[in-house]
Amino acid sequence: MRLPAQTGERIDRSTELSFRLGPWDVSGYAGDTIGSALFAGGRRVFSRSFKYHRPRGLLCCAGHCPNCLMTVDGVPNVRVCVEPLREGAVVEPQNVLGKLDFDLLRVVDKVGGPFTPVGFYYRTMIRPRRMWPLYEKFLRNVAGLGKLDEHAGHTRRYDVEHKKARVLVVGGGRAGRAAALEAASQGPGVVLVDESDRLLRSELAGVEVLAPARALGIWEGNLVPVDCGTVLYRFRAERVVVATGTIEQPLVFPGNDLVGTMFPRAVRRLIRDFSLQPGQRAVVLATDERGLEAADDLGEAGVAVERVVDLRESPLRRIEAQARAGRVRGVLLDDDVVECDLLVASGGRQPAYSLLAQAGGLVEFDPDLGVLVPTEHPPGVEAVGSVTGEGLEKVDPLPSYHGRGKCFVCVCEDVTTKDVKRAITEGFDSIELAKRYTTVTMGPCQGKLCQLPSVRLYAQERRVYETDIGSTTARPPWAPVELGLLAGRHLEPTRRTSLHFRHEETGARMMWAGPWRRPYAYSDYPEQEVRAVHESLGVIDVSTLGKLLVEGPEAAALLERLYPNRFGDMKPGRIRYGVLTTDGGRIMDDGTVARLSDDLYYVTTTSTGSDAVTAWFEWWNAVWGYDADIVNVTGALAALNLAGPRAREALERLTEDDVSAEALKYLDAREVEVVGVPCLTLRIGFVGELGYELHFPSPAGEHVWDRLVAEGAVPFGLEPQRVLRLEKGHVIVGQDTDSESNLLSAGMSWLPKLDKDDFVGKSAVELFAEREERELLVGFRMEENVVPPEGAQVVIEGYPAGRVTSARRSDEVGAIIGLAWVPSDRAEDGTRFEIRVERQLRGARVTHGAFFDPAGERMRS
Amino acid sequence: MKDIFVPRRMWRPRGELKRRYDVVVVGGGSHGLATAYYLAQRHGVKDVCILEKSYIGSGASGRNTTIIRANYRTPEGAEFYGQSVRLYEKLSQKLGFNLMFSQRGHLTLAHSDRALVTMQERAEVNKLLGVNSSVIGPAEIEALCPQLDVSERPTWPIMGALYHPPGGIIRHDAVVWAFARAADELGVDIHPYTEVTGFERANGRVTAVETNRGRVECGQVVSATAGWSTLIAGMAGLRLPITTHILQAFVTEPLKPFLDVVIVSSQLHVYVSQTDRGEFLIGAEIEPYTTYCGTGTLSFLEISARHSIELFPQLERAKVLRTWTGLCDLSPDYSPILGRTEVDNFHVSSGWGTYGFKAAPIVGVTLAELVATGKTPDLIAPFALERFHTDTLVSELAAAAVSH
Amino acid sequence: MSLSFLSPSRCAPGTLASPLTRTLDTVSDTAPWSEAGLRAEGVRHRLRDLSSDGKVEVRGDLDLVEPADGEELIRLSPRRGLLLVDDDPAEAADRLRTYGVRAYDATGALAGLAFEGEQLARRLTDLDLERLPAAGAFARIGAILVRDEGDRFRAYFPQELGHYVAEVVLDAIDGLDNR
Ligand SMILES: Cc1cc2nc3c(=O)[nH]c(=O)nc-3n(C[C@H](O)[C@H](O)[C@H](O)COP(=O)(O)OP(=O)(O)OC[C@H]3O[C@@H](n4cnc5c(N)ncnc54)[C@H](O)[C@@H]3O)c2cc1C
Ligand code: FES
Repeated sequence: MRLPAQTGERIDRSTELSFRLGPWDVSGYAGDTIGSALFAGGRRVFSRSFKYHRPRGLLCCAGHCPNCLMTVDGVPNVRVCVEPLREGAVVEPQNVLGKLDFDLLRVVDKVGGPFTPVGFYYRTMIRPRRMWPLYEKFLRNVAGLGKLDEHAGHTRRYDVEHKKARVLVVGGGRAGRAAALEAASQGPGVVLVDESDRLLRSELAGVEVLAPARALGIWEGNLVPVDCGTVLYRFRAERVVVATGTIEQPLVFPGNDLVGTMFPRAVRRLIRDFSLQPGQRAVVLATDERGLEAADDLGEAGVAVERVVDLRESPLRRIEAQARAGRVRGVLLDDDVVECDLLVASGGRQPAYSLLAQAGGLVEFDPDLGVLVPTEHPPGVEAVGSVTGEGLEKVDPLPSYHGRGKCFVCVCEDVTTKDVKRAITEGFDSIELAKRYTTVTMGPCQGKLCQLPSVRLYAQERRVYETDIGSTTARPPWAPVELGLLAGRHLEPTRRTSLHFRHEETGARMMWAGPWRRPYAYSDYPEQEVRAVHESLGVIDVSTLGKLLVEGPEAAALLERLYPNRFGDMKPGRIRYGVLTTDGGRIMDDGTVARLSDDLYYVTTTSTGSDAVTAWFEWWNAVWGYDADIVNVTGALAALNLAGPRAREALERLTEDDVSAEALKYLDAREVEVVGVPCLTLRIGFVGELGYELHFPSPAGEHVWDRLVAEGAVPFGLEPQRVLRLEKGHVIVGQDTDSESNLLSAGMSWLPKLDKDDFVGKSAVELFAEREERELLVGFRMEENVVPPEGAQVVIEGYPAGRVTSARRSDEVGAIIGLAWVPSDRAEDGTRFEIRVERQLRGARVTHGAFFDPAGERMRS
Repeated sequence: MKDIFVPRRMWRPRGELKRRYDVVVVGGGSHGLATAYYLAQRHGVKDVCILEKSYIGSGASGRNTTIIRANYRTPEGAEFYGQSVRLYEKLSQKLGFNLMFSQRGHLTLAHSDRALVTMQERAEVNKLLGVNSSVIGPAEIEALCPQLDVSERPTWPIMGALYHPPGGIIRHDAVVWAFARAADELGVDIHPYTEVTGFERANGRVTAVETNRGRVECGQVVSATAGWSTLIAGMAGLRLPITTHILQAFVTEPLKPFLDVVIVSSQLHVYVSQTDRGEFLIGAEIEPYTTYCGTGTLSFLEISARHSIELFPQLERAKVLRTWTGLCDLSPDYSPILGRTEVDNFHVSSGWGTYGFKAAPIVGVTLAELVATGKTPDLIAPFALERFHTDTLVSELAAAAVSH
Repeated sequence: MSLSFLSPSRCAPGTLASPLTRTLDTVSDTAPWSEAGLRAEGVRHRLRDLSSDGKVEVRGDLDLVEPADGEELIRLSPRRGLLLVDDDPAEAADRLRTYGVRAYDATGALAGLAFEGEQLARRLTDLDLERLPAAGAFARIGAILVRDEGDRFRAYFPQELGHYVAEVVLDAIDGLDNR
């Protein structure tokens, strides 16, 4: 079914490729598209329409319309007219119930018409209410086009490449090529992007040609992503030249969607590129030269051209395509019926302005040309060639919309002229409202083929000028683009401490803690790790703690003003617990602050807080201008907490420095060399036992860890640490507090020093000090042997009145303990309150002070 | 049903502006229209007009991702949104227009144990207040949504979810049109393409509204202008603690039914649903900077595409069809600012951030009551602007930020 | 108290490890399309682990800094720079302090990777490769990128993200090799 070899044909007849269409084996030539190969094999119906399930065939052959959407190798919604043919491709029709040529849902078209006018779903299926889910299920099943493969995914590697261009030309037509060559004559850095792969690179010396490739949009700063299949080129261009040309427009008449109607350029492509005969007997309705050229092409291809009407010279009162089984069998031209199986028709060409409009350019209806043209371009963007309207002739295809058969304004969404008229009658009289009601321009072509016809129809129906109608907003992307391509590589940044792999090797269950991966526990029995810390010795990786150096003669002043605490009076070598407040006086973060020398402080933050706290410090210091530098050394240092009654004895064996109770007291900070590594050693007791936090260069992480473990330290994870700190009643910021908690309500009224001149959040904290808090954070013990889930509610008279933020079973305390927010009148020591656990109310009693070692003797020992 | 054979007008064509209205509502979005409707319907206040600078629904009401749910964190929030969802459930029947409210369930995913705790808290609050909501594990998630990748493969594996069966999506334009039609029928004048440019004030009250089509005297004013709230309030001499940001969304080409429930992941800053038309509707978090510029960003598309595929690898080769932006008016505690202001007869509905569409009916009911009776309904008392003076915020940070 | 706890060079010999070793030793198997391990060798010798090279973070008036032989000052802002040093970074930091700036040994903080190929660089960063060194997005994180002769580049990035960056770079190389 091919014509004799055409000059310039794109197929290579010596290479046959076989593929499948549903159950059938079919073939084509190298150089074919799937669409052209199917057409060569005699296929005329390519898809079924969105709403009426009407058969549809090749219309534009340019990848603009919805008519050739099929599923290829499991990928839905592929435009096969532009999809290169591959050996072994598996092509499936979509949106059909039954066969492409005999779709059972075709009834919608036959009988549905009067019942399913535009927006019918808004007026129907309202009652009875309980039926809606059933109706909806049906609607959903008939809607949608292709089907996703349930098992697909992560099948391809996508990547992104950042590129620069001095001049980026989009569109390789005559004007685009000329612009590219002109720019190239002035120097390098010229890139030309075109959707087709027909460009002759040899004609474009000095120009980098990307084809087939697609510019998806123009974003701020002339950022132009270009779709090259599996690589997304992200161009930054000094100048963007848009030369996207024009898009042929459908002529609106009854039956204008029948299989066998085609645009002039589609005819040319089928004949010249693929040596196909588009039909046997043709009628050509031309509104411009291209239409007439198609008639010549057809003649040369041996098609009987029954009639050529140049609508500019001889306008018709009436055009009506006649159908047999959804295909063109003839056309009524005024009073004449001409038999044909191919109806070549176009309503002229519309500048392909959407890239310009999406980028913020202006588009207006040009009454002299009868089309929409871009009138103002975004900065740094130019337009050349026919996209500007240049070279277009006036088209004014005053069609008659009357006659038998549906007359489509929008083939994607199956919107007819009747629908649009009805929308106007109903009051959807602006183009934006009508778009949303009729869904014209919202389908797969995104207005490429329906914007202009709907503007024309609107003007005609409302008896106003097209210039008053406007157009609907163009939205990126220029053409549909795969999510996978936009997504790029799927690896996500993950922070790992220098001990990460040790933990994994030790069998730790890793979990997310903010941006970090951390060990939850090293076995299924976290309580054993708790016991090791209480009874002998444990070690935990706390490298994730935020760590900041604050240095300068005014470092103390800076910290005094950032924190409600006092730090100026600290002696070098001492440590204090600090809490940061927001300017609203809420708790923001906490940690320890060690003074290393007069001018140098070492500040730790929570694991998730380091970036925010660094930014916070820098922001305020930029305002205040103290002579102090803030250096985030979080990643530079590994940190291990060695804790347990045996901690000192173990440390003594690993260092030659004096770490005796006298030399290194509770809340002292010293530099100690441990196993050959200089460690900033902080004696603090987050977990309630004698403990040392060793901070040392990250690269030595595994070495120090290994030696501590060899010394008998049992690795413990986050879960045992949470139990241990809860036994001490220590608060975890972000877990026991939320964005509204303040120091007074969280039980730290001793902390803010309100006699200081100022600190961030002071006025708010003063306000809190004056008023009664609505709720307070307290410790509690359960009366029964039930662990309430964190988040469980404190209930008073059936109403949520507070919440549990932490709760664990503690073997050491011999009870189930926790922290909870309770109304302030229930916060007295010993007060009973109720917590809802799995539908039952369980009693608990407020417990002030630490549950374990309330005097803190063990950590001070 | 008969409407489908005989086209009937939805609303009267725009008429002349009258010299005076008892109530002038600024903003023809879901909130403004709902307020006008309930004023006329429940309180017989019919001398009401709506001034809308563009077409009705042109603001966030016509651009949102239409997620409706009530599983908020604070008791105040859960009760308020709970009543709104209940109103939505019967709204199609009440307004005689199919809003296609599709309550196929809403799942907020947890990818960390911290997130699970927050969800547990929300579930517990919700249960006590009669809002159907519970925490479920990966197996139950898989049963509800077998398409979701619940394996250990993703960077952030799914650990559990907050399941909210009554949650779902709705057809946003239908809500706008149905309220507009019903309000119009009761005599409310809707004035599209009428932009408010200023207010005349005397004695701490607004006496007249200036527009590009002339001046209108008013008894009371309701500003329901969401993303533009601070500008309109500014014209009335009022400062609101609100910043305006853009939020973006995109849809894919239509596909056959694949996803029934609404999936939200705060960790991944993405939410995914599939509309009745078959499009996947995907949104993300607000851009962190303040702006009114609606051109959107490429990085939004890239990041949300990546995160959607983390959840649904099958979407890898689905295609993005269209992306757009809308404005969001963010309050410091992620709760709305609703009701009276220092300017005596000037009422606001704002601070809706990324979550206000679900509140349209209850805002309409409560604001109408306030305007008609002069009394603030208890349900919205906690959301008064005054809370920023008394520092009694209603923090929905854990429930509203990103998770719609 | 001194800041020697920041300096890997103050640790005893044999105590240090690079955050990249494990990743570079095994080609990532996270990419299902990669025939795991097959190209390991080919890829491996195009990359060089620079994590142990000396780096000093400088704060203050950078004009006061006189880089010595074998030292390279990268200006990140008028008051912030990174000095790459051949010799002991701890000593370099001490020396810098005598110029009147503050200096911190950042050797342990930053991992480093040298690689070849402009196209590879373009797949990892949107920084202008003609205007390096510069700090900016690299493999979706913040890094400092330096260009050497011709097509050779060095990237310095937080060590805690080292494993991730190495995986990304290997994957990008794999992508270029298997077009
Ligand atoms: C992308 C996106 C996704 C969202 N997703 C959800 C979601 O899933 N669920 C949810 O519940 N919420 C969501 N929201 C939020 C929700 O859309 C809004 O909070 C809600 O629609 C606000 O409704 P409104 O009627 O108050 O405002 P709008 O609909 O914005 O209406 C305000 C109106 O005021 C008009 N106006 C402004 N200035 C003037 C003036 N000077 N004169 C006259 N008129 C003026 C505007 O033109 C506009 O029509 C989302 C928002 C966005 C942007
Ligand atoms: S025929 Fe393929 S897109 Fe139009």
